[in-house]
Amino acid sequence: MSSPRVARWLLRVCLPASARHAATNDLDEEFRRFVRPARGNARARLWYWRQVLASVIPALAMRLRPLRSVPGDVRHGVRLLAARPGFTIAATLVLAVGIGSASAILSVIEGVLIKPLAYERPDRLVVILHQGRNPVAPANFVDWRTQTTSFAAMGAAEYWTPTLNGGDEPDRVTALRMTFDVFPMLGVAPALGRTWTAAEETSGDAHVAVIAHQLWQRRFGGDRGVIGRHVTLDGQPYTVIGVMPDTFVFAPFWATKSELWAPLALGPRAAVRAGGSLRVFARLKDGVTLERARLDVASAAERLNRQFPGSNRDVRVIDLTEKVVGDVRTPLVLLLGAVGFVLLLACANVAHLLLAHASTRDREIAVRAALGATRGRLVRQLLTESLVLAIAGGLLGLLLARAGIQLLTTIGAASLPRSTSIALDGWALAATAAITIAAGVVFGLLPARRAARHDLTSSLKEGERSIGDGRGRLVMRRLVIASEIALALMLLVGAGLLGRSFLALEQRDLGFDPGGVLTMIVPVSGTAESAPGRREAFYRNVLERVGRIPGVRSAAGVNHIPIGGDSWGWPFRVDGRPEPKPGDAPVASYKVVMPGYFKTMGMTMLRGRDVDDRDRVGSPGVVVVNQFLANEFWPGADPLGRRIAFDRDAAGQSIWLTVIGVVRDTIHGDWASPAEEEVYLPMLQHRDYLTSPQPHFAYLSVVVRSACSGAGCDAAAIAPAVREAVHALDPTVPVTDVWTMDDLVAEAGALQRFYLVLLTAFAVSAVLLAAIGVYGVISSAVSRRTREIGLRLALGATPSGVLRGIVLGGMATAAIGIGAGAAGAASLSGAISTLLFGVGPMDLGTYAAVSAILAIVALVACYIPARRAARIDPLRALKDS
Amino acid sequence: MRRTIAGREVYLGEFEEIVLLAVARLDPEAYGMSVRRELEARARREVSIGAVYSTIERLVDKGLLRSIPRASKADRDGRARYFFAVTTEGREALDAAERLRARLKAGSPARVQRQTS
Repeated sequence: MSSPRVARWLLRVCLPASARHAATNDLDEEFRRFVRPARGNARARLWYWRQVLASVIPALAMRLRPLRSVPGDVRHGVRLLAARPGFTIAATLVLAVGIGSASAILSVIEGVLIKPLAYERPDRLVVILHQGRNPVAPANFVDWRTQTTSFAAMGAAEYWTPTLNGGDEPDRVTALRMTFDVFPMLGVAPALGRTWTAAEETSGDAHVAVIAHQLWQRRFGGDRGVIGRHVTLDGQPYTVIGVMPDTFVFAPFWATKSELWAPLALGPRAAVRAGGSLRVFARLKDGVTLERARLDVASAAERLNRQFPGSNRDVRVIDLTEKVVGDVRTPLVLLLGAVGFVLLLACANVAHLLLAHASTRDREIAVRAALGATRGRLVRQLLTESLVLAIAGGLLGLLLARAGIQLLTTIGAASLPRSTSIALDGWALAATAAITIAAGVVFGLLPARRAARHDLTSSLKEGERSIGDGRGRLVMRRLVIASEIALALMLLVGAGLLGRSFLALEQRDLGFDPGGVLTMIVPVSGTAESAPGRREAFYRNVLERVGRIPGVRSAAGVNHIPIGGDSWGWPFRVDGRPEPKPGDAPVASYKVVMPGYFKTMGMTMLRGRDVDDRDRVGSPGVVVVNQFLANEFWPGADPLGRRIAFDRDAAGQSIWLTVIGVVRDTIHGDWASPAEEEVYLPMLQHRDYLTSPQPHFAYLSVVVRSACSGAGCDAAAIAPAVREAVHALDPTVPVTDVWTMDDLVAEAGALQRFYLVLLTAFAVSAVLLAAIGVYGVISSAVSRRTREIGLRLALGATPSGVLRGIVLGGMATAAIGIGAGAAGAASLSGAISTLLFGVGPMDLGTYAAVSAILAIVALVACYIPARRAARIDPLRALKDS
Repeated sequence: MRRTIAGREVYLGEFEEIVLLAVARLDPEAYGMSVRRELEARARREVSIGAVYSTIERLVDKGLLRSIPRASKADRDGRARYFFAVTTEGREALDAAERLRARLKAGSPARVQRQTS
């Protein structure tokens, strides 16, 4: 009978290789020869098990013993690095750039994409959209809530910008009116006080508010007695009943700056099925999948569409996190890939530097081997030294990452969702540590394996210098050059394409001239100026006063400015065309303007006239349309005199508006979106804007064109004077959202700029690293081949011939790298195409330019060491060898 | 019981000392199993094969034992044995240990001498 197999296996697993065979064989021998004959099978097996169990701890201690040499190896490694400061600094910097970039991008990805939203079980939260991405009509929300069964809770929120009074100056805050169930659905309790109840909401007297931590600090000084305090919102008294924690953000998209939440009492609006102002949020019931919820909502929407045709189109249920970060996932992952390339380049460069220096340590390693060090011990020592270098690079990289993250969150704050969640936290530190160790192993492996395989005894002998390079070294050299060039080319193509997109966007015709234009919002809701008899006069007085400020060329008003403002879409009918089916009507961007708006904004009037004082309440309804709308509905014909309608009168007849002018198309919030229908109605003719107390009708966006223009013109300089002009008329009216149009246009392109800046930084790093890498490879090859080159020169080769040979050899390999890089970039072109504008992912011009740049870089990197080779003194070269 | 190995002083532990003694006794037939059995018989303590090899490896590292590249396959169905021998430094270490013990015992009260003898 043989020894117990399981016990034997356990012993073999615990013992290191050095003692495994010997110890197991000895134990087996004793079992067989002595113990089993003396004690019998059963007791012998028991003895074997006892031996194995008692051997586990000593065996594991044997395994850990090699680590005792680590402190010594680390000290030795630090001494070696200190003795070569140039190499150490260069390698540390290169690694710091690679590791730091990777760490920064990983922090961004962790904060934006991976960290869950700060609500309870955020993976169960969804948002329900109408027409793919639009807000929802109140009646739809009410019906979905009652006619679906997949949701544990469903609530709605409406954007609100009330004027908060009670401090030194009135303040316009970003707020949401919400149904009572939104807070419980999110699962975040207030830090102070409470949220409102269903009873409070339906009572109709729902003048309570919950405020954000930031608003609490800013307006109430963090006073804990704020609960029960009264504030005035749009002229109405409200009671503060709760303060949310400082990390709370809602909504996570669309109204991310909300600082105040109040009850949404729909009242009669609950029956309104047209338009859309509500964002609907819901929590899936336990056990219900997103798919099932989608089917549930789809069938409710279909029923409602049959009952009210056109009211429920393309209703979508989207995971909330996906809605928040879905648009940036692809670009961020692309950036992660880009930073991975940079890290690979950094490791390749450092690996090559270490290999180049490894040959100078051959004697040291040979002596160690002769004194008894095993190959495993030597590999461990060299890997430890590489890890020391990696850790130095990693620590410096961490500092770079910290600075990088601050820069990224500043650049990306306006455009990147969840940018406040980005931080160098424990996760990022752990990821950095892992990258550092992985990098150390990757670039340390080559020299370590070389030491393990190298015929070290020959290194101890003098005068044994080989002529030329072995084949293996030649292949390695070509691989390093080609792969570095290829990686750099791929990054540079990406940066080039994004750069061209950005330029195309910047050069895009905005439809207006933003230079020197200041905008601000003057809300009258809740003030005396809101009264129907006073509002028009107030607006006129404001514009007249502002127009008289020194340095102001003109001033006008509009409901929503382009890009930075809100955007309303309103369905309309065209005179002479069949009545469109419900839901099929064309939708126009609905602007309401004071006279002089087009001139102030620098918009070109192509035909007809601007609205003016003739266009008042009671006079024939008029409208100015944009070129796109005119071409769409009256192609080739004169649009002046044609008619469109938005509303109907009491008898159900369309209220026709006559087209009096055509303006150029303007850009919208989404910078890259194509032109769409726009209409401009005279504010002086618009009853709602002149009389309705509803906050979304009771404000004016003032646009002011300053007299200066060109570079150095700062429209913001006139802001104080404009504020003063408004307050001189009524100090209770706030002036908020003061921006220059230049700033708003710049912010519209902020996300594209963010990606471009990052990718360009990575591409430039990659090109530099590739240049250093190619130079390093060729240079060390020249050093190693000094004797061979000297011999060639002595035998008749010309210096120019030597130079040409080295350069052509390097360039031939670089050409392979360029080809491989181009193929790689082409294969990834699909991934980047969503980020491009005005240029295709396979743009030949970009590929050609980038290839030319890298060819020049490679040429310079090859030429410098080749020149050194051409100047080798043959006699000296042969004598020194 | 100190030795200096490559400029670093190393201490000989109690188990290391008895393993060295066992190897010295069994030379030239000292290998894992024989050392273990010798220790069990002479020192009357149950010793695991893992503890023996762990100590042998430590002593080899310290230069007090050397492994002998003589692989006897007899009696083992073709499987090799790995033998060890005490080096000169090992013998010196054993002598030093004995001298130290003698120095400590000399001049101590009779009952200590009885306890340690």
